[in-house]
Amino acid sequence: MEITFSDARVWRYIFSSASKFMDSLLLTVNEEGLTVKGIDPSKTALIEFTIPKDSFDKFEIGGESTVQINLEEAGKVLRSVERDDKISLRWNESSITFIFENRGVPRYFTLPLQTEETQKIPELSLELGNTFKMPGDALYEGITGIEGVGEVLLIEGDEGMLKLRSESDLGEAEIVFSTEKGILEEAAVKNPGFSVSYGMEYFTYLKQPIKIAENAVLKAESDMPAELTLTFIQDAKLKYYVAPRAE
Amino acid sequence: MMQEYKVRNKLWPRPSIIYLRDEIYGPSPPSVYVGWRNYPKVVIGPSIARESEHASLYDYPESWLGIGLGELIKMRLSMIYGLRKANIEDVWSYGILKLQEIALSNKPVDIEMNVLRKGLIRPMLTRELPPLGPRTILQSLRIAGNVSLEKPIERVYYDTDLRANEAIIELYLNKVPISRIQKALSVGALGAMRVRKLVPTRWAITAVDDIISKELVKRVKELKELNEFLLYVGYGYDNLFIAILMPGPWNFEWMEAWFPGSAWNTEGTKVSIESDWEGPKGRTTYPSIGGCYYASKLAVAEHLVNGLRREATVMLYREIYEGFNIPVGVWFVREFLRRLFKEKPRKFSSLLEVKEFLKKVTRVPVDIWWRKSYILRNYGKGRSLYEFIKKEKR
Repeated sequence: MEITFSDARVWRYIFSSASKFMDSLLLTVNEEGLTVKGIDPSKTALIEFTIPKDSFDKFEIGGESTVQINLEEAGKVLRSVERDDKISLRWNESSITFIFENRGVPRYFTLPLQTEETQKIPELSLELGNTFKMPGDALYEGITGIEGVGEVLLIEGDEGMLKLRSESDLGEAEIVFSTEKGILEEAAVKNPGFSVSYGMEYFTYLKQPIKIAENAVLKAESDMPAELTLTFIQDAKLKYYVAPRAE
Repeated sequence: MMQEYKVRNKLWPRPSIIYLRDEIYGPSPPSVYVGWRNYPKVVIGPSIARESEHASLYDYPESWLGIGLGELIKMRLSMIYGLRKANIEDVWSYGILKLQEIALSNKPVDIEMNVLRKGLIRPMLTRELPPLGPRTILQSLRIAGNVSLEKPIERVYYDTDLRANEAIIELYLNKVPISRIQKALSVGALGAMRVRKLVPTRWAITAVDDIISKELVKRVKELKELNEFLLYVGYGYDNLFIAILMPGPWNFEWMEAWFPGSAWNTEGTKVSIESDWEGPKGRTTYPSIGGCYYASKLAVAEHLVNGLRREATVMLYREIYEGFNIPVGVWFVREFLRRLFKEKPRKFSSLLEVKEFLKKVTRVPVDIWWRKSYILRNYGKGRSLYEFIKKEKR
């Protein structure tokens, strides 16, 4: 089995972000393409990274296959990714090889695959009435601006407006994105005035992938998980779910 | 018999000038100190205990709680260290190999130190290290007695392919006391041949606590979660220790409240409260609260793995009162907690009940330190994605 994708940077940022709060990821390939899924030990956050088959430079698989990757080791390997690197993956029953290639010089890193019981990733059923679309770097700036203030991220929304808020003993910080100012590319709000809070760290973990995403779509609803969809080059997508806090 | 020495300035704990005869003979507990100043050019050398009968006790933190801190400090400050300069990579030199022999022994070793006649080195009291007695310059060293090595120590010492991390875990699983593993790491006796190095004693103490607790936490995460709230409360040596074990995934916090007049708040007028915590994935940065963090984490992880056999969310809290005004090292936290976990815990069905009970226990009002605790103020507030799972079609 071997697959090749043209931009290793996306993999690097996603794996390194996931390694901050997850132990392992499940990588599945089938006729549709690739899916990488993982959930954190406290079952608060879930990631689902997908790349359609046609977006790969090379996609040679002998049928559906799922392997479990230890994130601690894979995260270290992916840290060596350089700008303009391509990434190829080869695997068999016991090991996986990451190949990074730049200017015709491939670098090989082989890791043993995890053989423990495969983690179960739940299928979520969410009806989220409020959707906001913006450039990835705008959301990145928003999170960076308020993350130091408190450990809770409050998301609120109204017609044409999304508010990220945080407060603590230190004070209060608020970032407002609006369609009027042009930062929000789209805002479809079914339930104006909704308000929901999440652990700030779960958004901080994802800052790097958010920063390099072409766009970010955030769906939220009172008392419901947040769904953040990041779109990268060649239709690679990261869906990220975070459970709400019970305040 | 050790030859006599004289402390000219009797203002304890800072006798400033110590005159020694050229040769000192006596038992090393065993104990070898590696300094951290001027790293990688450090100082290293053995120490001699004042008496033969209980020599091993002089450098064996696992049994110090039983002897009282006053007695312990006197005992530790009576030890004499002979130190010489070394580069951390000199582990294969004849002089360091001799020191390794001493440090790895599981019984006191009689040694003869030839030292400079005059030494001007004060005793040292730090947060991480047990108190260190006076130190002088070592000119030559002779091992006069027999060295006795335990099997597991001997095995890892001669296995020059085994990585230091693996050696530390192997020794721990073979029930070698933590303090002996720390000594072995410090004198460069562990690890693959090319990378063996001397490790300053204070760093080795923290490194061993960290490596062992990480391994234990891996095992904790494989256990079933605790299904009730357990509370351990222990008081002693002007310290109050509280351990709250809660149902939930591994999360850990260590908090200390230093009262004015205690060792690390001598000049202050208010109680100084500090804490550090980690989630299920552990930390990537050194906790600002220092080595106690790792010592306490080791004690509780050990209890979860070997005692309760349950995974839990853990909050440890310590109040340090006025009477505890001399730092004695992180061993105190580790051993106090290990002893505390041998006691029977109080059981509660909610965290609120735990908080209510503690209102009568802590001197700092419970609301204050509770609010400062990341784990306590957030406990129970994180919901699970499993609440939003897709229902299977029938």
